[in-house]
This record gives sequence, C-alpha cells and structure tokens, in this order.
Amino acid sequence: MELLKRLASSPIACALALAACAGCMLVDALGSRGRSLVFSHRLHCVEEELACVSCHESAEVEEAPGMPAPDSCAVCHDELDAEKPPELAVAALFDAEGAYRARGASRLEDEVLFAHLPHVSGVQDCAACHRGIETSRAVDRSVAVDMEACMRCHAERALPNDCAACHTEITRAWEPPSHASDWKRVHGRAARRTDPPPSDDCTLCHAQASCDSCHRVEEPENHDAYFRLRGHALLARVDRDGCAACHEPQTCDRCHADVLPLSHRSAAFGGTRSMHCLTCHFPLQGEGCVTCHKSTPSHAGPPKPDWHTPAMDCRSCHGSSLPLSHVDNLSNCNLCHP
Amino acid sequence: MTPSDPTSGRLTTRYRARFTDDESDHDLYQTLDLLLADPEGHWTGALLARATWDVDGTDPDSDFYSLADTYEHRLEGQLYHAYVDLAQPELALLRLGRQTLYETPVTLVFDGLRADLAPRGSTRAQGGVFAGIGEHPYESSSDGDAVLGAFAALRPWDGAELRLDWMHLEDERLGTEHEDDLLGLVLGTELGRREDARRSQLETRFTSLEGDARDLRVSADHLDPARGLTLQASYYELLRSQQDLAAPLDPFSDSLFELFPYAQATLSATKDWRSFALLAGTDVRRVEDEDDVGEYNRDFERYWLTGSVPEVLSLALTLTGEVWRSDGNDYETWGATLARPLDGGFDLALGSYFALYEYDLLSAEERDRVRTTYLDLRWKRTRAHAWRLRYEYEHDEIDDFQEVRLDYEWSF
Repeated sequence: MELLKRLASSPIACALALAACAGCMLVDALGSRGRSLVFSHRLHCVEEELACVSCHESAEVEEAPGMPAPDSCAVCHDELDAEKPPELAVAALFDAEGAYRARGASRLEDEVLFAHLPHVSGVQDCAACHRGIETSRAVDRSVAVDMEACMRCHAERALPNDCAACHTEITRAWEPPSHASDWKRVHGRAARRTDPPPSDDCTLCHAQASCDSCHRVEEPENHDAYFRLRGHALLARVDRDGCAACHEPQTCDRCHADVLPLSHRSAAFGGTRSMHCLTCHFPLQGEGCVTCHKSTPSHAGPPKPDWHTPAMDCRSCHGSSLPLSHVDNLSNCNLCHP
Repeated sequence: MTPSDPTSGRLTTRYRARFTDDESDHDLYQTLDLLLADPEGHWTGALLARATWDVDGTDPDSDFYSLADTYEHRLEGQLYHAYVDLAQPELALLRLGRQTLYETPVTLVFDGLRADLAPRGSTRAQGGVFAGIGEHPYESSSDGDAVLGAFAALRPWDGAELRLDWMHLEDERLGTEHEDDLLGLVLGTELGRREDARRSQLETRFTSLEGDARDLRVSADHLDPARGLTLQASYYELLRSQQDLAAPLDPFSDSLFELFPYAQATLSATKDWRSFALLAGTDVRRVEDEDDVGEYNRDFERYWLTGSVPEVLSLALTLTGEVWRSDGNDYETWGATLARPLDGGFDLALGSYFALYEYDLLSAEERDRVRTTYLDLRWKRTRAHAWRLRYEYEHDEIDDFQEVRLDYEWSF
C-alpha cells in the first residue's frame, strides 16, 4: 500500500498508468466491433447428426473447400425459417451475391501455399484438422485451423515442416509483426514460455543458443571506462538486481581482491588509526568497509554487549593503559557504538 | 538460426585498443558461435566460446584492469555453452553438455543433462528434469556445486500456460556451503489475440525458497504491432530478506549484505507513428520497512525516455535520457545518435552521450560527469562477411580515455 501511495504521488507514474489504461480500453473497444457470425455447428453436426458433406457438398471432390450455398441450406431452412425474423433466418449468413459471410474466418494469407483437396484425400477425416468445430456455436477465428495443428500433423506424418513447405514469403529471415516495435526490450517473457504455439515459438527461426550470444558475451554499452572504475558501485548499491542479470556473487571479490577502490590509492591513505575510514564512511556499520575488510567484523555492527550502558566509562575497562586502534583513541565510543 | 545445414555459425574476431595519456591496453578476442546438425536428424549441437588474449598484460593498478584480467593467464578461454541435443521419440528435448536454462525461476548455467518429455494430450501436459554441476564463470573451482531440478507444465486453456518448477542448488564459495530448494509457479494467459498479431497477456510468477514465500511478480503486456503500440506494466515484490544463498540466488550478500524486502512497479509504453517513435517508462522501488533503507537497500525512482525520428535530412535521429533518483545517490544519462545507411552496405552512426553520477558521501555531494562521443561504421560486404569499426572518446573525472575497436564477422 505504501508503494501505491508513493506511486500515486509521482506525476509521471500517474500519467503513464493513465495512458496505459486508456490505451488498453481503447484497443478493446475498437477490437470488439467485429462480431462473430452466429452459426451452430453443434446443432447441425451433433444434434441433427448431419455429415460434413451434407452442407459442404463439394469438399471431397473440388479444389475449393466447399462452403455451403444458399440453395443447400434452403433444402431444410425454407420451411424452418418461414416464421423466423430475417436476422435469424439462414439467409442472414449470406451476402447479396449469395456468398457466405463468414468465409473470411478461415481465410489464409495469400502467401500461404495450401490446397484443400489433397488434404481431404490424404487425411480422410475432417476432424483431424478441424478439431472441435463440430461443437462450436459460432464461426470465427476460433474454428480456423491454426499453424500448430498443421505443424503437429506434418510432424506426425513425417511431412516437411520448414517455412517453405507452406509459405512463399515467410522465411527465417522474415520478421514477424511483433518484432517491429520495441521487441528487443519485451521479448524475454515470450522467449521463456515452456510450450508456445508455433506462431510464437522463437525456435522456429532462432536456435536457443542465440540467447547466450547476446546475454552472456557482449557487455552493455554503459560499461565504459568510468563505469568499470567507479560508476558500477553506485548502480550496484542502488539496484543490485540489475547486476544479477549477468553477474554472480563471486564477481565482486574477483576484482576487489586485487584492486583498491580509486579513493584508497593515494599515498596519504591508510593506517589503522588514521581518519581515512570515517572521512567517507560514517557510521562504519552502515557503510561498505566490510565489503572488503571482512577481517574487521566489528565494523559490521556494534560489538557492545547488551549490559553496557552509554553512561559507562569505556576507558575504565578498555585500553586503560594502551591506546587502541580506534581513530578517536576511545574518546567517544558511543558515537559509533550506541 | 536453427541449423538447416550440417554446419553453420559465426566466427567473430575483435581487436580492441584503449589509450590514456599515460597508459595503453591491447586485447584480441575470438568468438565462435557454432551450430551443428546430423544430416540423418539424430542429433544437433551448439557451441559458443570466446578466447581472450591480453596482448600486453594489465596490472591491477592500471585504469584498464577489469574482470577479464583477474584470471591467471593472459590468454584465457570462456566456454558459454557446448551441448548436444539427441533426437528421441518420447522426448521433446534430450540435451547433454554445458547449457543455460532460461525458463526456470532463476537463470541457470550448468554442465549436465536436461530431458523434457514431449507434450501430451489436449492440455499439452509436459514434464522434465535436469541435473549437473553449476557453472560459475568467476569462481575458481566447481567443487561442491550441483544443480538438480524438475518441472511440470500444461495449457489449462487456449493461450494459457501453467508451470511448476523445483530447483535444488548447491554452491560452495569462500569456504561456505550453500544449499537451497526453490519452488516456482507460473501462470500466464493471453487476454486476447487478433488476426493482426495484436495481443494482451497477463502473467504471474511466484517462488518459494525453503518453504517460505520468496517473491511475486505480476506483469501485463499489450502488443499492437499494426499501431506500433506496446504497453507494459509489472509489479514485483520481494517477500523476505535474502542472504547467504547458493550462487544463482544470492543477492551479492558477500559484498552488499542482506537484501531486504521491497516492492517495485514498472510501467512502460512505446508508440511508433512511423515518422516519429517514442518510448517512455518508469520504475519505482520502495523498501518495505523504512528502517531497512541503507547503503545497499535503497528506494529509487527511474525514468527513461527515448524519441527517434527515422528521417531527418536522410539521417535517423535518436534522443534518449535515463534518470535514477535515490536519496542523493543519483545517476542520469542523456544521449543523441545520428545514423545513416550508405551505399555499398555501409552504415554510419555518430553519437554522444553524457552521464552524471551523484554520490552522497557523508552529505558531501560529489558529482562525476562522463562525456562520451563515438563514431561507428559497419560494412556488411556480403551475407557472409561483415566489418565494424568503432572509435570512442570518453572524458570523465578520472581521465580521458580513447578506444578503437575493429570487428570482423564471418558467417558460414
């Protein structure tokens, strides 16, 4: 909730959220304008037990898939539609020229190579390709045979499954529409799907190995000289998750075992009792000294036992005769060890 | 590319020279990206490896010293992946060798075996296992490193994916043994898909570490290629502190200590009007308990904006900016690029960007400015041969750096 409150107080975040919501609503509103044609295959195939070729008369003998003509329907519907309102009569399925209005539902792109008749004679079972159509209640894209069905059937029958088997324009070099806009930034989620349909399957064109070529070999462009020497520390402390995209925990030690931070390289720097730590890192336990100085665990947290109180005189027990290796020589213990 | 020929791939040779007034550094890189296929269809293979030769050596005190110089020899090799996929009728995948798993809750690189069953039935139910030795490129020894895991997945309805993962990770580093079990659950679904490739998707990812809820991510995308519109929103919450975990899970806790619970929201939008394109987004992170905010657990806000005009006097102009705000430890970059394709397969780009790093050390704010200008010339001589020459001049608070990089890529 706290995050939501703070988000709500950020004008840019609010503007983006509103733009995103408005965009989606507009898109859905525009998308819902095209409605499916109401035709129940269930009624005809299951309840009336009609065979496919009863309506699709030429499907088994002609090249065209044999979409029903008004005359075919009229055999039964002249009588059935006599008292129906016009929008529910079978005539509503056809346009003025007598063409089936829903023929576009299964229309293929012009660049797709497909002949219906060889598939009819080769498969000899309409349901093998048109799975589930017999129980559908509308004619829309959901009844169309998709690429996954084609590829599955081709694979089962050891038929060619490469792009050129069905496409004249789509090759491996062709970029799908989704790749046009900002795809580089958003492709990750699609690429991680376990069993995507073929139209979303990256491996149709890309070997899985190509992920590594970009994600593990090339450095990001912001890894310039300054970033390598100093800038990385700022981004690591702000957003370590960003580093984790490529690096693992050992990365830090790998370099910092050999390399001193730039600020520690001056000849004047050093000495266990100098002020060098406190100049930049104060209080110590909240800062990053222990990142490298792992042998000084006292810096990571207050070493004072619970029964110590601020009123106690530290020197009465600690370092009463010898100076200790603290920059203040124990003059103000409570400053760092509250 | 998927291997359609018995042998295909890319061999990339890179020479990189870097200079300051006082120092120089010369490196050579050879990267091989190879795909192999058995003409009989019994197996395919892939290999990605890089050899790096530090021609003149680099001292740890040098400004050019980097991760690549921490290895023992000046000539070092890195094997990113090397695996063979064996065709088996009942298996969707049987992979042996060094490989990367991207589908699992955390990305994993390991040397071993992965076997995925072929999807079955109308729900496309599927399962798989993997086992091997974890590969950590910056670790000197793989002793005590092991990975084991399994997944089950199905499509509960059209356009949906349900996936359950279990991962067991063992990692020994700096003398400490780490052993963790991670469970992951993913449910994703399409909210709508239309003929023109327009679609909306919703996805939820949840993981549990050693039986305790670890993190949750909910994300939604809307892609509309025809209108050039992309919208994304996501919400992530780290539900419990993370420290001392096996390498792929550990939040750099050896150096940056405990990572405390936080929530992060991201929104982004892209719109391409053909003559002008705009990308904008924001990240907002808040540490859950204000008392946990500290040196390495910070609240931040990040905004980014990129505008591009594909044709200005035959040039493509891109302007971009990114700003991080985090209690005095701030970072911002601003840049511009002009690009133009030339005759004969040449592409030329001239760009400059500015970065400002602001450190708040003991309230003494420090501002480091970095200005970089570059010239990038690419020449795709044929489909098989491509060259790239890049010169970069960087001026910052530390020094003036120059870099020349020459790449030659042979695709076969």
